[in-house]
Amino acid sequence: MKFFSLTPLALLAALPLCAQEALPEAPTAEQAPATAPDAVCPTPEAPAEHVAPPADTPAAPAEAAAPPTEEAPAEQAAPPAGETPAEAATPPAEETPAKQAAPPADTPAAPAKAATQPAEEAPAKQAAPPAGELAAPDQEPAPPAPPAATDAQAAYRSIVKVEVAQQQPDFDIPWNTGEYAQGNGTGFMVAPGRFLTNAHVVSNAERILIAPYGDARKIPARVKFIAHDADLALLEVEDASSFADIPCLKLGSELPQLEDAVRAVGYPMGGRRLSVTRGIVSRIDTIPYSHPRNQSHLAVQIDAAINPGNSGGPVLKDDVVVGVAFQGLQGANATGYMIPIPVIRHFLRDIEDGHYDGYTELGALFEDSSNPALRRHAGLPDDGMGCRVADVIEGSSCDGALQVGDIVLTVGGHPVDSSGMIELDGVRVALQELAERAFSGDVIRFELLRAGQRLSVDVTLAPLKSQRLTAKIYDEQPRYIVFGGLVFQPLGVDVAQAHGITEAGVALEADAHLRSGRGTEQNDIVMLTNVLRDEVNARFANFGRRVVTKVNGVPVTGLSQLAELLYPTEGSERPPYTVIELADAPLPLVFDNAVIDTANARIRAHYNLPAHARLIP
Amino acid sequence: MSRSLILPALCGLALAACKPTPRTAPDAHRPAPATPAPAQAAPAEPAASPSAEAARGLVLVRTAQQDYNRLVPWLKQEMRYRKALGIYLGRGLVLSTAEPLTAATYAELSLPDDSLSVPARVLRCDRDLNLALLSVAQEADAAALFHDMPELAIGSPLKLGDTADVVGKANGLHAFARRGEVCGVSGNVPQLMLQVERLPEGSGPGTPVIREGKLVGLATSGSGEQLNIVNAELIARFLREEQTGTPLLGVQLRAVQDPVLHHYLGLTEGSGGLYISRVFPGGAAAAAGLQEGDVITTIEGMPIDASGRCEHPLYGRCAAGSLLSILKPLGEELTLSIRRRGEQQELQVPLNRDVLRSGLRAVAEPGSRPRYIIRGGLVFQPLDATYIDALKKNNNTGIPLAFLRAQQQETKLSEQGIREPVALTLVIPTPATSGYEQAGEALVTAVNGCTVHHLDELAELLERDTEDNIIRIRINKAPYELYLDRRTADASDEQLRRRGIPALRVLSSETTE
Repeated sequence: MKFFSLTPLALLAALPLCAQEALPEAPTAEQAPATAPDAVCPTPEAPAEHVAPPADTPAAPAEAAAPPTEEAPAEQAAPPAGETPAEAATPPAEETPAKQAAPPADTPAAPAKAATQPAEEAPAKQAAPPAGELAAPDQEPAPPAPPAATDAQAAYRSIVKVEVAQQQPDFDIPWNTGEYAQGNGTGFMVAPGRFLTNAHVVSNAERILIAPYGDARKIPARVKFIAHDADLALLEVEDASSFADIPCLKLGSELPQLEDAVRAVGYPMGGRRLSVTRGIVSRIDTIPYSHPRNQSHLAVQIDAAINPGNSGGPVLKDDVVVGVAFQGLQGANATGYMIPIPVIRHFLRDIEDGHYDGYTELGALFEDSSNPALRRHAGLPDDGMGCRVADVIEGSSCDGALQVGDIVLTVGGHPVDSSGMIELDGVRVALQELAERAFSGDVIRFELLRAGQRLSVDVTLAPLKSQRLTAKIYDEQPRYIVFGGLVFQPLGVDVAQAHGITEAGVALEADAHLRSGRGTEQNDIVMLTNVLRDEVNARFANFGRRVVTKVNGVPVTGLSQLAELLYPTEGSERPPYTVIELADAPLPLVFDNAVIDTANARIRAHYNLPAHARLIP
Repeated sequence: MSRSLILPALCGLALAACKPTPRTAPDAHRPAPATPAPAQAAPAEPAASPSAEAARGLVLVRTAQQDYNRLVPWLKQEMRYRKALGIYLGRGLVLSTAEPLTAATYAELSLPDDSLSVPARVLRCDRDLNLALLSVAQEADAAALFHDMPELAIGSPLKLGDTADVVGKANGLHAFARRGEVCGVSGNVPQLMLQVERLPEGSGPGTPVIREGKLVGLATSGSGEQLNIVNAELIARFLREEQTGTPLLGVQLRAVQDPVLHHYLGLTEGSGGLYISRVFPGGAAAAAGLQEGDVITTIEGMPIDASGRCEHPLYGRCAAGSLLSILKPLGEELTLSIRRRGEQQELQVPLNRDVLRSGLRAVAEPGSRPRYIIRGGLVFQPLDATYIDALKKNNNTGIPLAFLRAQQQETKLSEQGIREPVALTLVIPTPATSGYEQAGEALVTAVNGCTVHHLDELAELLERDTEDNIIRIRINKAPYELYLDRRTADASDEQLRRRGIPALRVLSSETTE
């Protein structure tokens, strides 16, 4: 299944058809036009404000509040989260809930007030009054919560609204700043001052504010770790003191069962207060995650309503988190999806070393090996075991270890059947699931039959670099080069989408790129995506959007290398012409270098280009 | 085309069969009768006009077309019915357009008023020029059909600005002639555009253009007030030459128009050229030594100007590329001047259609039986242009990657002597193909370790004995090798035959094994 996501045809084609649509990351729910004060004020300075303060101030509080630094949060959030921090936090939680139960009454008004406050003020204000003070001491407890609700109410206090000002990159005109948008999602505290949410809630964020349950204030937060491939992010507030007396949610330890009752809690569209919906676990399956576009992982389908704004919110079973609500299914009724515990734990463990490495890929395709002639040729008995390797991607984890035609007998000690399935924890899963559960650098042993000989090979797992081509890009500014009015961009799903590039035009190049396991920043498929008309290119034939193959006879291997070819360093000898060749084009594009510098300057002025190129996202 | 056409066609057939033949033998050299037959005379027309006189030679050409389904090669496509006009030339010959006769399973000739229809025989068909020559299928029918028709000579070619008459019969009865003027040139094989007053109903493809009582053009398409016509020059060549089709160089060309590119290529001031971006293996240009990057600057001594056009005596300034196909007939040589890395050279290019004869660009004759092999449920077909075109028409998702890879290696395949690349096109579910459902649409590279050069060789390799009775088929995509057990394949073949596939092996376009 996952292998197919590597074929460009399948992927680029899948784009518009993608049935799974992420809960339109709140922006659609409460989209604010760029004119809204919220959205506008953080424009150029805000990012700095975000990046700078956390560096000195909150670093200390964070450490103070949660002694363990880089590695610890994950540690805490992961296995012990259930016991230590949450348990420790529980006693105070017992008391606070009552106090806290009241404020919700007036919260709706408060956030509105808070929303009008310039973002810059927030941190300063936050630093002064301790979190507890604002917790509405003047509010009399509303009707005392029923005793049974105590746990639930305590849990709700750690579920927060995440308000995000986003700047969407513009892959069509890559030097433009892109649109500003405002979106909401949900998050929940898994360690003091640390909140789990969806990656899509906080992608391309200019500013992130956390609005605690029943609290008028909004507390600035930043992304500590983000896993676009698993649609998860861990946020960290700059000042954790507001949450000092709030318990962390307990993370469950395993998958729920079919028909288990669960509740989705969050701040979806349709109101400003916390919403709870209830349902059961309807299905557990591996499905495509729509945020990265090119990844499929385990997900749990529930029939509790999940709506835009629920994204990032916890799905609880008996007050224990069993998943993070993340996407719905268009055109279907009562189907919501949550990211289940195994995927969450995978994320939390991955970041334990202070860095998110991402999912690994085997990079091999296994074919159904039930054909009797195939089995007889491979010397396999008629026992339904053993699976033939159908393809191996160059440069992938399995390259050099597996060969096409090998019969895989066991993987990590698990016998492999003829359809490539293994039994893990009593469940039959595709053997790729082992890579899904493992981490970069882990080693998996394969027992093989190669040309009748038994042998074992070790495969060291790593992410597949070339997958960048088929993944959506977030939190990066689009890269580009403009030369002689020609706009060059590295191919990716975003660029393909922005320019209407179909897989038919790039199938061979994309296939070669994916199969060669290339795909680092230095190694792209570069496309000519647009022509800014000027006298130097006015007579060029219009070939549409094509792959750039050569410049002055030198094969183009990446955007940065192309920049060196087009803009040679000062003093280096320049040929009289710059000759650009495009795939399948009937003519080369030729520039006279005697006039190109003038032309480039003129084009830059006419088209308001901040620079000739952006090579580093 | 209207389906109801079949009805008059069949009636005509019945009529023709039982009608007594007025004359026993056609008199091919019979002089044209001086007066039109009373039944066909249009009262409004001046009887003496040479153009209206020519209308007496009009006939209707009706055809049924049905080609094979190139994607499921043992099936045929839906039937289509077509109609065109034709003009009697004398000696029992009718000139019409090729398009309705392409992959025709039946053709007949009728008088325009439908008072007589007889089965027809296609003598020659040139799809590039869009011309066809027909006669009656049975000699005996000729006299009845042609007895009143004048012989028509081919006139001197039209050129830009000339005038000529478009001739027809309104409602199949009333002859008319409309004066038209040649106003332009279009098409890859140049056709003249004839500006004419609005024409009556019933003047479609095959409508003749007459000047001074001679045929100077044949309309192939167009509507209302503009007809695209084949010029007399090409009609005469079609009637004279033995080979059909226009010459193909086997290159990808584009006119050089950008001044910087012009300088870069070293072209002289004020001139232009055709840039060769690809030379296809096996073609005339490859044989003549043309290379990618060459620029054609003159064709038969005619210089190409900065806009990529040549001055032609008939067609005026017209696209230089289109002249390559009509300046000289097949079998002759074309003289080209080229500029290669700044150096001027002269080359003789043999005029042929070799680029279509082998490899991925091979074209199957329309209506011919597709060649294929079905073994154990795997369907093998030549991977040629005809198959790829059918795939493109049928498939919205584009050409499968494995075929794109094959196209990318076109030159390499040709160099390996693979004159007919073979594809595994379909996988029919059988016991022998279990697990191979996704293996279709790939190039077959080898069987039991032997390279496959053409379909006949594949047929032989599939039957060759192997030690373990397993046939190993290599393809150019995952899983790269398929295994077929001979006995299981035999049983599967038997099952497919019982299910009604008429033949499991068609190696010749004419016969069935």
